[in-house]
Amino acid sequence: MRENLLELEGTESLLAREFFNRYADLIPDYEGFLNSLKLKIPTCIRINTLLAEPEDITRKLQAQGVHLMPTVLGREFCEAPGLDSPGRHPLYCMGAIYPQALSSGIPALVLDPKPGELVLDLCASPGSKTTQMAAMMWNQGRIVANEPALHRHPALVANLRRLGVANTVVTGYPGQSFPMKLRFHRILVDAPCSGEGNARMGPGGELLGTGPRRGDLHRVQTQLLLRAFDLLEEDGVLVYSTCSLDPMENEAVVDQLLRSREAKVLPIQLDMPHDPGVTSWAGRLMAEELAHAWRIYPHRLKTVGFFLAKISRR
Amino acid sequence: MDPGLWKDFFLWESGRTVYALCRSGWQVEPTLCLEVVSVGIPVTRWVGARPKPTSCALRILSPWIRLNRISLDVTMVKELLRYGEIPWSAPGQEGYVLLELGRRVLGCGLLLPGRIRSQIPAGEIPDPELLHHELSGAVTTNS
Repeated sequence: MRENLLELEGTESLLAREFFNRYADLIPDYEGFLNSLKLKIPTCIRINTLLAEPEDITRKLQAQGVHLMPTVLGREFCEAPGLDSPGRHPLYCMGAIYPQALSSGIPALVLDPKPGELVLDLCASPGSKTTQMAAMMWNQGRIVANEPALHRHPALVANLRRLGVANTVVTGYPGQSFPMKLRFHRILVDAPCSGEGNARMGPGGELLGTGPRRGDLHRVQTQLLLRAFDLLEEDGVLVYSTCSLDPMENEAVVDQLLRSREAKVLPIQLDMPHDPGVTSWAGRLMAEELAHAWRIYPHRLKTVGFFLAKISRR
Repeated sequence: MDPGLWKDFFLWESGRTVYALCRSGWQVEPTLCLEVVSVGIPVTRWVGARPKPTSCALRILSPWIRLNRISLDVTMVKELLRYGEIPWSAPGQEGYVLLELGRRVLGCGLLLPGRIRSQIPAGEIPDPELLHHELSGAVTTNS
């Protein structure tokens, strides 16, 4: 069945229901999930507290008819219904706001970097999470923002500078071979993925927003996670995340780490809608502790689909 | 600006640009063992014999900058972005200045006799029309 579905991927007439049917038994309230793909995801912005005060920005936008609505992610993350093209707004150009999906804001909150710590963002471009972490660290400590794709450096560097990030250096190593010269207190692996979580459904039920898979993602993701774990301080914390719903890109990757290293999956102490990670998939039994991982579905939290796991040394 | 502020930063000069990276108590930068392609924020660029402050540095350092600040209104900013310079008769020390609109730092300007010349990078504020909305309270929604 899986082979047949993969054959369908990349065809123009692929329907969202056909694409996601492989997850019908995995996703709770599957019909609700499919229906949510027809809805527009609310515009969400993060207020950059390095350069702006949330209350000031709220007032400013309210005067323009944009009423920011609080989210479960705290006062910096707001829904901005009706804000047209936030990336063209002067507040964006001046570094005060940054358009960022709600789910994209969760990994940094889970990682919880502190001022003064040494932090690695292994797959950093375009810098959404790097700049969020810099704000959480009040521009103190050090973030290494690594991005192997050189053509993605300009966007990363432009975002760092526009948002006033002064605690970050950018490197360009392949993540799998990031040099073992430093140990980090916190590491974020927001791995390259299929991007299935971004998928939407068109008016005819067609699949939008995601395309055919590129390469062996599971292998690359596992290599990245293994190297990240090896770079972790003894008492360090690592977060692995993707915007995919595929267990092979998520739980199976973390499961491979648990089999290869003295690692454990930690419970996530945040209060927001989520579902637990799966512990079996396609006949493969995986570690029970993967239930501590989080699956974010668009019908539970109005955002793109996401996966994340918080990991430390055993 | 208090020169003592710089003790909190590592400073590097590369070409004509000086970069700053917060020190966070480290005596030696911990990432020196890595091949780094970009570091911190550019704070000044040498233009002739003068160091010109960058717009992103002005935004970060704004709370500590006490002199050479010029506050513009929306009309002035639109003219400045459109023509590159505007007439300016108020007294002030010639040289680079911090330009602001309300409480927002726009970037760097150059105060010359009788005029201000924009030093804000082209395209950094892509739509001057939106600046009007920024202060006037006009609606910029799609609903």
